[in-house]
Amino acid sequence: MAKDKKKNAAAQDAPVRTKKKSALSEFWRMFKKRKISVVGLVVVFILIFCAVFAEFVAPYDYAEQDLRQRFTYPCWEHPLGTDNFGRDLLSRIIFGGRVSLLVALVSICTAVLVGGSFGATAGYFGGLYESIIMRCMDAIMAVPALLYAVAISASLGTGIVSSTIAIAFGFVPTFTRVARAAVLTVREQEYIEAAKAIGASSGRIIVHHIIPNAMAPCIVQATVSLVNSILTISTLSFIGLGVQPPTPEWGSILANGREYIREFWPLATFPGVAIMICLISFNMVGDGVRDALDPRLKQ
Amino acid sequence: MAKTLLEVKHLKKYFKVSAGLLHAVDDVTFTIEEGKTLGVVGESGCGKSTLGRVVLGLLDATDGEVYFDGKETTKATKEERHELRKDMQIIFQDPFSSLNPRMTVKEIIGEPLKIYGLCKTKEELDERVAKIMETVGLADRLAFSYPHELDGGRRQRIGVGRALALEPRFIVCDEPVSALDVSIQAQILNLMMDLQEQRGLTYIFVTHDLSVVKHISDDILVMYLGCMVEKCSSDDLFDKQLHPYTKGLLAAIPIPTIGAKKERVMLTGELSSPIEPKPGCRFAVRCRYAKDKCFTENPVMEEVLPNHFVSCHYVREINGLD
Amino acid sequence: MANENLIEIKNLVTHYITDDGVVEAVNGINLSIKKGESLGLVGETGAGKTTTALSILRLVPDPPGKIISGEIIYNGEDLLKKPIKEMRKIRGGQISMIFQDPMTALNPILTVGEQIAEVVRQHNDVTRAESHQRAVEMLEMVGIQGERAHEYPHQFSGGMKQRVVIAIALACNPHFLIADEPTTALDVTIQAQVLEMISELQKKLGTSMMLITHDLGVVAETCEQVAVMYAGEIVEYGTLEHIFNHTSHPYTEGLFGSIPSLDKSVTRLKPIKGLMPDPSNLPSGCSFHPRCEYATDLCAERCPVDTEIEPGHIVRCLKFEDGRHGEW
Repeated sequence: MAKDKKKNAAAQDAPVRTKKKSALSEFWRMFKKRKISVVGLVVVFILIFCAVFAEFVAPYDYAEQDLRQRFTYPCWEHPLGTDNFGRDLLSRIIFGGRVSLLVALVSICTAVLVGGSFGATAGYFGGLYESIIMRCMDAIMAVPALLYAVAISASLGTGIVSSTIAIAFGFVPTFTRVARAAVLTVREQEYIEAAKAIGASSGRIIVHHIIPNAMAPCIVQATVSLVNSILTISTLSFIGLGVQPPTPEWGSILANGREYIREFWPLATFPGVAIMICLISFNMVGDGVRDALDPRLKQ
Repeated sequence: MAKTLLEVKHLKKYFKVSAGLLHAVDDVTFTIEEGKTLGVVGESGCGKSTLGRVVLGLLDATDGEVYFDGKETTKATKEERHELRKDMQIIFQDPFSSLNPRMTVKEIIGEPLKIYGLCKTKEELDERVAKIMETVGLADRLAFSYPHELDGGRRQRIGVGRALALEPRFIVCDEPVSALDVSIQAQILNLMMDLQEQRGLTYIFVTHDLSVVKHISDDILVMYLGCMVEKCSSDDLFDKQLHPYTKGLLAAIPIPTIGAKKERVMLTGELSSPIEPKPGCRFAVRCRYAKDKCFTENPVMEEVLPNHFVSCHYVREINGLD
Repeated sequence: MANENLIEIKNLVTHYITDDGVVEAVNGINLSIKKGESLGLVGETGAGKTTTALSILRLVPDPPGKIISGEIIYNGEDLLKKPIKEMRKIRGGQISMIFQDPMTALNPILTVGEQIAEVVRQHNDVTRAESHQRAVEMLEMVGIQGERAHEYPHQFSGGMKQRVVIAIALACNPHFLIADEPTTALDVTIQAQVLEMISELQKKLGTSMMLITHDLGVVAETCEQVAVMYAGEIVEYGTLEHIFNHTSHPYTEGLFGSIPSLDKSVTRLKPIKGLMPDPSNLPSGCSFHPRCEYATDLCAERCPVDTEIEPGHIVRCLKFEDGRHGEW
């Protein structure tokens, strides 16, 4: 019976630990519950791996032309065929992914940092400061992000850097809003008052109590926004404002393929498929991250 | 005679809301002796929680004075307040929202010690936290658990532990058991009474549950819409309550004994708004004894019987006192 | 005798099947309620009170909830075997429910009159005007002026909202009313008003009622029969007299020991040691044994069965089996 009791006691009690469980392991425990998100994560890792080691993964160089082999349909030598200059399409898509992912990651990280700080300070201090920040963000949000991209590309010249700036700028208001809302909710919690009651300073409250609890929504928003950002850079390249030839980018390859869509289908299809796979897998990861971090779903 | 630890004089706290001034606490005066418990009772919105927070200095008083151990805390500087926090602590109602979900039990209880730099080494901190956990009845192995992994009773023990960490002399308990199940509630109440006995703690015990307040308090203060209504010893309140509101409140409690249903003086109507109250007794609209005077003149607290204060114009007539 | 029972629950088992395991919320309960009678279902958080109520209406969210076995005989028919369409007619019509939180039980964009009228129209063949007439009558019955039928829920205070919820529940003259902690969200003086009103209406209309609560005081004042639930089982069941004056099960005893009393001065409460068991991993044998001060080795091994210790007083505890009457 003693054994029985022990088992029961263990069952109704919290897990026994000898050191603090890291937030990451808790996150992973929740994340892996959603199998589809894990699949998405694997695909995302493959995409990132290909992008980073493009030189080694891709069978050809992206700029290597072979005019004798223009418009080759998929075959052993060129798994996805070649384009109008006889360049290997698979290699161009692999190198193109590098640009897309880099621009997306850099622009979102910038937007999170800038927007997050604006939002967090606005939420914590409130008052006139908050009103000014939030009205500015409303003004930015009133214009579609693509239009900023067009304007910035026009003034700074087209290219990777200006596309990145343009996309980051467009996402700043989103993160400002998310961060502000998160801080506002956390600020009202009783444990903030409890921290004041044990004599904690404002600095300590922000660092130890507000930031860790307000982070989750920002991370979730970042994962979701990545998808939009990939789509935006492709759109920009498609309309000729993003990455300039000969550097490959999914959007620009797609734009190129549009001219030959009637005669040669692979050129317009495969970059589109690449964008699609990328978006779906990032979305699946995003959903998983949201579920894992959303405290409402925790016990 | 024990010495007076806390003295509150004409304390007022008004909040500005869009509809006007909300009188959350209106002219409250009382004293507590060291080692005693003052129960503060009232329905939701009567300002009892606000009172506790103003006394602690978590909210600034609109008017009035609070003296702790002879020092006036309402005029204290920032540094003095920081020092006072060591002596004056609070236990919150909601064991769910009053604990940071991203901190472990050990971090939560250790935080006040860190803030005041009371432990020089990590080992000393570990030791002190372990000791506090033992005092409040939390098993060692829970040190690295997160609040959401524990049940309400044990979370509330964490809250008690955090309040005890600085070894305060005075604790405001803001409905510490109302979110708990009865069997757990009794465990926490026993814990708090044991602590009081061992350490000579002084409590303000804010609650809406009259049976709990009777169990734990020496004196009881009944509040209605921010005003004091009656203040007397715990026994007097239940045996010979004088104010019509207190009578109604006591009659409304369901008693877990058969046939206990006494002659009920059911209170009619509901709480009115504490925003820009009209002059007169705030309870008058629900009071069956109310006369014209009650609607025009504010009643004042007076000592009707020895150590029994009531704020009602007609308290003597209603109770057949001289 | 048997056909006097309006509703009879036999061996009801309801589980929630989740990824993390099976939550055994209700484990074989037997209950019966006669016409016009009121039963108090008492227990702490997680005892399975609400799941029992939802099982009767077949509103247990599925998935993850599932009624594993049992019968719920209402007017001679098993509710668990009825097609969903008929169940819908019964819900809100013959059996209705009052929820705990009056703040969220009302639709904020409809007037209260419209909300009552809607229920009336759903279950009766009446015109719009007739249903509104009925709504006004119902409001007056629960002590709200009829003119207020045109107001929206946010214009009412908490106690008034709960009265509206009660009016909706009673609008179709139900035979059976389930009230799930109807006064927990209210202040004591308002609670007293609402409880008195519920009791009065219940007697006047001859409705049977099941009142779910954690407050033994509320039960003492409103109910005739009491069932004490612990970990999905009814551990003690009997009349008010049986439970309050002949308390038999150790858990019920513990509950009474935990409440500070208003008439007696006790210096120390006698709480039940330990915690509620996790319903996805219940102790073996009697599920109360790890917390029970009388537990013996046998309690961890054998599940107690219902034992009638006096007519109508049923206890599920080994202490009382085989005619032991509480002595080991």
